[in-house]
Amino acid sequence: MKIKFFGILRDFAKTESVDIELEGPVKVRELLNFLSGKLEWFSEFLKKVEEANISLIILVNDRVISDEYLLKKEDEVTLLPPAAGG
Amino acid sequence: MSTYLRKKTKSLYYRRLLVVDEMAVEVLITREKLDVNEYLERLSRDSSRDGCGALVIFMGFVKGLVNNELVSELIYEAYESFALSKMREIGEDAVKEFGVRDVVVVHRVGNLRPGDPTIYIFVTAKERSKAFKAAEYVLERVKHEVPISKLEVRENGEFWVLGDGRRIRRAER
Repeated sequence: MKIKFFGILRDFAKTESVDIELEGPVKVRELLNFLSGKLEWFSEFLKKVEEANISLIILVNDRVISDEYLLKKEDEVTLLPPAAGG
Repeated sequence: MSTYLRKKTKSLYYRRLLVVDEMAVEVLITREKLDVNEYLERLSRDSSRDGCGALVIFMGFVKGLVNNELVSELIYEAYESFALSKMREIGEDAVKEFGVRDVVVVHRVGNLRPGDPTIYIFVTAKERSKAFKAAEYVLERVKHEVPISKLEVRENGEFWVLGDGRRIRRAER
């Protein structure tokens, strides 16, 4: 599965995307937990975002998906930092 | 004027109104500064034919001073495909919610310096109160929902801006 990073997340990751392998279909929340366990910077970033009561924007194949969506290995997940327009 | 010409003129006029109606929500992400007068003239001229008499514009621009630190530039980046669809959704919601005629949202990207415009919102309506409310509604939703990333370059370092004014210092490179 391909994970794409944008903005500050790309900066922390020092790459635009990573390929990961997950066993079995997983929900987005489980994917975020997996990444938090693997990447210290991601775990710290998620904590800051939660403390600030804002949230990441998560797209699957460039679309917003429901929390119940089961990710497939051919899916492309894009992690976008909280909106900062204006 | 002959009957033929009168009919032709009328038909062209209605066709034009129809096209304008389809353009009630307009969104754009651009590196360029807008010619604001061109938008003001077009929107006021076209919407006046539908009985509108109010046009509210909001323009955000780069602050030159944040927390007493000088800002040299703000670097904006948009995740464009989703950002545009979200901006359109917000504009359409504003039209439905407030009954305004036009909503135009233009967001700039790239390296912007203090005083440079960052976002433009234009709303036309028959009643000014609706236009003011809709413009504020659109601005707040764009700020909180549209995937636009902002890096603030200051004298004392670079900071990623998250949400409403929260900042994370960028690691030294």
